Amino acid sequence: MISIYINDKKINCHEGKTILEAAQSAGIEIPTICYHERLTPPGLCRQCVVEVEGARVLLPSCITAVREGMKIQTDSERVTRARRTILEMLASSTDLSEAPDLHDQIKKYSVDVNRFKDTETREYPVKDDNPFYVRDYSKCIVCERCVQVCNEDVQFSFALTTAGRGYENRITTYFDKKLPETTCVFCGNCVAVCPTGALVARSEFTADGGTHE
Amino acid sequence: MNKYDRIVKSTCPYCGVGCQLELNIKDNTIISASAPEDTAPNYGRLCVKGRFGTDYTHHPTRLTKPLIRKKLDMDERIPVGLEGFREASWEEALDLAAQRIVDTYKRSGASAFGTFCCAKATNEDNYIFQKFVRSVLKTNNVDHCSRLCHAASVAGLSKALGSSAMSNSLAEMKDLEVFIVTGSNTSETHPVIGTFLKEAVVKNGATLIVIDPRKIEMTDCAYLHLQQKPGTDVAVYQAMAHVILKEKLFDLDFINSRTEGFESYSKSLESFTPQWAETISGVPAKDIEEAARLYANANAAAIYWGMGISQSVHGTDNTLSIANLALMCGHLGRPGTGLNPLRGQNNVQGCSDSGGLPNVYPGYQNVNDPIIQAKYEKQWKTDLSPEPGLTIMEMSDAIETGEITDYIIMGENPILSDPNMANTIHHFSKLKNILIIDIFLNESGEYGDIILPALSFAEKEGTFTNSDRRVQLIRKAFEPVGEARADWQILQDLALRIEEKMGKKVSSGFKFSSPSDIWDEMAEIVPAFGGISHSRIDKESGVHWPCPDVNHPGTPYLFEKDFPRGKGLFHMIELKLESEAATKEYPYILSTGRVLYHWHGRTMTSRSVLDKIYPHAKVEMHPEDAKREGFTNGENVNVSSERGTITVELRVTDKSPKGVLFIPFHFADAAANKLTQDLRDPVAKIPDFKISAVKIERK
Amino acid sequence: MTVKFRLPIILIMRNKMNKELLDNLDFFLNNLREKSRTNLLPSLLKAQKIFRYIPEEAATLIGERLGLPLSEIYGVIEFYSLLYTKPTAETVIRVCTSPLCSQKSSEKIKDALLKKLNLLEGESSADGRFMVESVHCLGLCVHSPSALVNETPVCHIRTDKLDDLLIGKGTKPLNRAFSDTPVITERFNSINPESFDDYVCEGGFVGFNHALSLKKSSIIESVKTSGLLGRGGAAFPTGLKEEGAAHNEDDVYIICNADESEPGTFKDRVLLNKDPFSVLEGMLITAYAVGSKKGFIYIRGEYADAQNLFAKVLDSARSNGYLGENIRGSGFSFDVEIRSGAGAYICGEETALFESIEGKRGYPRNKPPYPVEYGVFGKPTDINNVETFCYISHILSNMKNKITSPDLPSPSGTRLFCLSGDVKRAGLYELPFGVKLKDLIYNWGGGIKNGKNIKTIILGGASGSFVPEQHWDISLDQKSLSEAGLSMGSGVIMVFDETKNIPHILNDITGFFNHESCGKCYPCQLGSRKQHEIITGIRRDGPKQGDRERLIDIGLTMKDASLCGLGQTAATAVLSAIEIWPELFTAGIKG
Repeated sequence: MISIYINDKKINCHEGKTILEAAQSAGIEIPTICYHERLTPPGLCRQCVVEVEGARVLLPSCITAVREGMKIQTDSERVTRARRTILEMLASSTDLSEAPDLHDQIKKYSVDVNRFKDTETREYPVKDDNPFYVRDYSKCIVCERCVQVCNEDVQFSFALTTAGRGYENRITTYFDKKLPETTCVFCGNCVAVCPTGALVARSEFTADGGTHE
Repeated sequence: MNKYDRIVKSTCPYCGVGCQLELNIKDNTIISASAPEDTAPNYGRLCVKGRFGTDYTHHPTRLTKPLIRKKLDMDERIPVGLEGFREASWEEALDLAAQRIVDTYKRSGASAFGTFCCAKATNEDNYIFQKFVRSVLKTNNVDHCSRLCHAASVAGLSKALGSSAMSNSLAEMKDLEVFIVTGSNTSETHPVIGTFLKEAVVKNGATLIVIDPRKIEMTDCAYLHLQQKPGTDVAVYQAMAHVILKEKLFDLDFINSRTEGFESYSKSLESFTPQWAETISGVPAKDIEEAARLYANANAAAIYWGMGISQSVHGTDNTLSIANLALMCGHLGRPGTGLNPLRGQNNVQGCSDSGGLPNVYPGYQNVNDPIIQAKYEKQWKTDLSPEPGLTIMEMSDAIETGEITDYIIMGENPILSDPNMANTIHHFSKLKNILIIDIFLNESGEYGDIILPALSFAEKEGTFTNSDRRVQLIRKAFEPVGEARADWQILQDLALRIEEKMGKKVSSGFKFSSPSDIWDEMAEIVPAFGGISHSRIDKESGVHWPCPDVNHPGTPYLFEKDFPRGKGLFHMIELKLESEAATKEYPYILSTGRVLYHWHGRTMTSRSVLDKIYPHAKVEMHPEDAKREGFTNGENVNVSSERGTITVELRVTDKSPKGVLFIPFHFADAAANKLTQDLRDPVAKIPDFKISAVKIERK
Repeated sequence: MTVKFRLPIILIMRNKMNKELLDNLDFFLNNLREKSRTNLLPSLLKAQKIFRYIPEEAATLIGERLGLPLSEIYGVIEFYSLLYTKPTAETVIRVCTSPLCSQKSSEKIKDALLKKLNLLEGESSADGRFMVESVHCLGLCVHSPSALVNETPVCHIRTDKLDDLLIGKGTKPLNRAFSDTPVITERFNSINPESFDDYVCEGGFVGFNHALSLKKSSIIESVKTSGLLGRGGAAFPTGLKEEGAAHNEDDVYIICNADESEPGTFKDRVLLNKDPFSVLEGMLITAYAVGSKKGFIYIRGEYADAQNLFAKVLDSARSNGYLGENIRGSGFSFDVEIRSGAGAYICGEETALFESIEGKRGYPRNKPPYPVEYGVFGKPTDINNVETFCYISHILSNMKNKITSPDLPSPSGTRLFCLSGDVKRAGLYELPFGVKLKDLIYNWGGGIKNGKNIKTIILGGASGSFVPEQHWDISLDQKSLSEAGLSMGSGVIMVFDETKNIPHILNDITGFFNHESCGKCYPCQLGSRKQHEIITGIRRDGPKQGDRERLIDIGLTMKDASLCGLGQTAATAVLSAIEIWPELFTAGIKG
């Protein structure tokens, strides 16, 4: 057991835990987006960053291990600015209407979802190419959970990948083929981990009155 | 979110993994299914069937009212669709069914009945079924589809250990060190188990050895793939044992303290050299040697198997040859070890546990054991027959002789699942009386006289027991369709009526008001279930039997101290090659099996969105064979055996080896069982589904 | 355990015309020593060369031969700018649009070329002969505006010389350096860079041979004592890094980071073209000191000349016994493999470079763990910039020759400065630390062309900052710069005269990051795009209400929360501009 300080409060925790795990067990909430308990944390959304004394930049709490005596601030000005701005930018890039977790964060951090209204959103036509699930990538925040699940974290089917670079990153298949032409076995484990409803069971999509090809 | 009215936790109705599901219900309909991420055994993972395939429960062809054949008792019994039946009230249908049974009983006695209980129904449904058959009909002619599945595994393990269930748990899979997968296309038949096994290899460095004639997907992460000729399994395993003996890699302590029969067994291994095995099986001797060393040298090694081992005329010997290896190397009774037959159906384990077998009561207590008989006679307040009943295929024989005239079938499709369909049809046609309890009218139901509509897994309460002996709950998620009733309720009603018509003074007890009560009665008489109850499962989400009392935590892995028969027994085995051999006229070997998207007789999956992705049967053929024969991928071909012919689409792939074809048995319009034969393992009585001699011609 | 991957059965080789080309590719694949993921990028580059793009059949063949999941191959192709899934052309003209070339109207030249060919950017002509694209910083800043025509650099391109441009005809880059105290540029004018003998004649391999006689700890100590700091931009003490790498039981890899792509940087290109053996010597010394058997040099895809030359250098070193087994009878075995980049600035980030060598999309990794613990293939890795390795070879040869000088206390006391822009003598200067910025511009660089005045100076490249006027005579050493909140980065000094337009320069910079962000982490993926859109808007229409606050929030978020150095510095220029010219970002005033 070691001692760390989160928001000036002394916390005891096991060595080898991440800051996020230590905070969670002490009842301190740190928001996350790409993190999923059953998957390897990619540390890419940066929403869970915290300020650690002695570190030049903010550190992602989902993958940073605790050290004896570490002093952590989870809600400093730098931290809240980063979280708010990330959400503001995300809100102007993607359709977040089916992302309940993000709605909670938007409320908590007083996010102005219209702040970047004048910038380009990522919009794609809905992909409805198989009997089981629909891909609405206008809702995709490229958290890459689906790719992880399809690849080495769970399924080992390797049907999905990330293509493009930068803002144009997008989730797709080999040469953008329709899913039945790929190694997809329609296990739907990707649907299960999608946080924004970009991947949704066809039965739910059509029940919602969603349009499709 | 308000997307759903409620979310109901349940267990998947498809395979023996027993994935925990969350059914998302809106307007009394399953809108979608997910899985709770923190619950064993699947921890949020599902396959396409569990995730998207529960929609069959809402199909418009669900039976909603009892049906009675319009033209009963004709000389010739012909299959009829719905138009050949008339709807009836429960009162009329139950009374008629009871009367016909009583009439047969009075005329011909208990031995006139053949009954099939259901590996997809709950433990409670099956307990009532066999209680009814035994205490009211006084026969032990009750069996179910495990006869066609793991019967040989069960027979072999009974002989070797006195037990017959998978010995270790799913939870141990991702941490395996060395393991063998044989005769199991795991990623298609037990997909979520497939992901744990792959995880063990790719993420945790486990060594996988696949022993299978086909290049199944599990070979993608296998360190070794031993590709034996179909039917030569015993040669490979005996040769592995020979190597382990010769190189002194066996666990002497374990052999001395926990087994018997090693001396004569080891002497019998002399001629089973790897070189000899290579000539028989085609597997290179050095691969057999390496596999043997990997298995024996491991600290903990496990063996998983499926139909390739069991569905054989030598299924029991196949199983015994595998059991010998585990006993020799001491790979039992510890995590990461074990003899693990992967049970197919969602509740085949439970159906067997609940006494759906002709030779045992619930809890594998022998019917011909006077002490056991007395115990059940007391419990059920009636005298019972000590004579072991007939197995499924033997019931077929008895129809032929005229001994059996009545079939009672719950949730089964023998027309599609039994070997040699022409034979099965012939026998069904001879029967005088067929009573069906099911949720759809399938190919077997079309031969029925009275059809009683049952509930799907999502409309009732009860328990399923999965492959690693974990008893789990299903819960009612939506209101039953039409007038359908729970199987156990139908059977209770039927039993009471028959008892009354027979003038039985004391009922054996068919007044249960809930499945929980039914389970409690079973738990009273089955020691292994003593500590399990519905309320306990509700709290803990699942309990592994044996669990003798409420303070016992359940038993994820077995045999830590001893085996049910005491010591494990080695068996000397001879190589026999009695399967149908290829001939000049029928030069190919046909193997049958399953595909990921469909379930067995396709009663459920033909009525699901699953059917859209895989709408018809395909025959797999090796590219070199196809080239030589001049066939192209996608063309329609006729495949024939001495039993019959089917037309099916050709799929050229190197998944099956040269000279071997593969057809899944799901499709009635291209029924693989038209081609198979009823060639039985003498001990287990299971047919040789995996080998038939066939020819293939352009349509 | 490696896993084999299943190909979906639907994929059938369709196009018979490609058969010969496919056989060509197959020949290459079958001759690879390692048929695994690490050779994915080399295989894709080969396919790109053979087919002029990567057709599905080629990608599938690569997947089969290397045992890779097809989806991953597609993800890799789509990441790198030099790999295409649609046909390119016989001649691809890539016009540089980085700040320096853009300020010299490279966009206008590109547009004129497109108009002449009647094509859209990125569109291949119907006869398959031409395609025109933008590209970022080719390291030809001294001769801007520049372009790459297939593999040939063409400098000083002009709207009235388009026909020449189409056939790759034009000024070639002059590779030279200026210095009073040359250390690593000393041999530039006296050797044929290809020649092993010339190199040895001019003191080559003295350092390495001396190292072979020393204890490994002494070598590391000498590098530490020299005070050598990494020259790639991060300025980490090289000796400390070596020490970290040496403490390992496991295989250690040496990597030379030659992915020079920071706009305004050209020093590594010149070093690789003028004294490549010294880079190799530095790698050898380091390999010996930390106990390595294998090295890579990752050269950006646009530097084909440097790649070809270095291949000759490696062959020559092998045949002269300076690479391979038991080098010079010492028992030390080491060899180096060249890996080509494929058009991604982010692959200059060390962990993204590892991912690229491993055959993946160039996503940086979270640190810790650091490369000396967990680098390429998960093994300890000592990765250094080209210039850094050159200094290592001189530190050891100086040790041998016991050269000391009061003017130059340490052989690593000089550094290369890349001076470009509106100065009379743009070029590569090797000068001691502490030279004053004004000296560099006026004395060495000859002052501003055409009698103009300086409008602004950028230090450090696109990821650097504008220098406020009060620091125009700053001393260019670590301490002074750090105190002023500035950084040399990769040694870039860009000078812009009064005719240049700040929003335009900023727009070029944000355009650069918008193109090069890898997209992994949200602050940079989103921020580099949003800031670019806002700056584009400011350039076009002047600032809107709230623009300044938005840019500050984006900039600080990227600085504080980005995963890697690219994101952390992508807004440095913007933030420094807001400090210096707040009026440009305040609504109501046009810049």
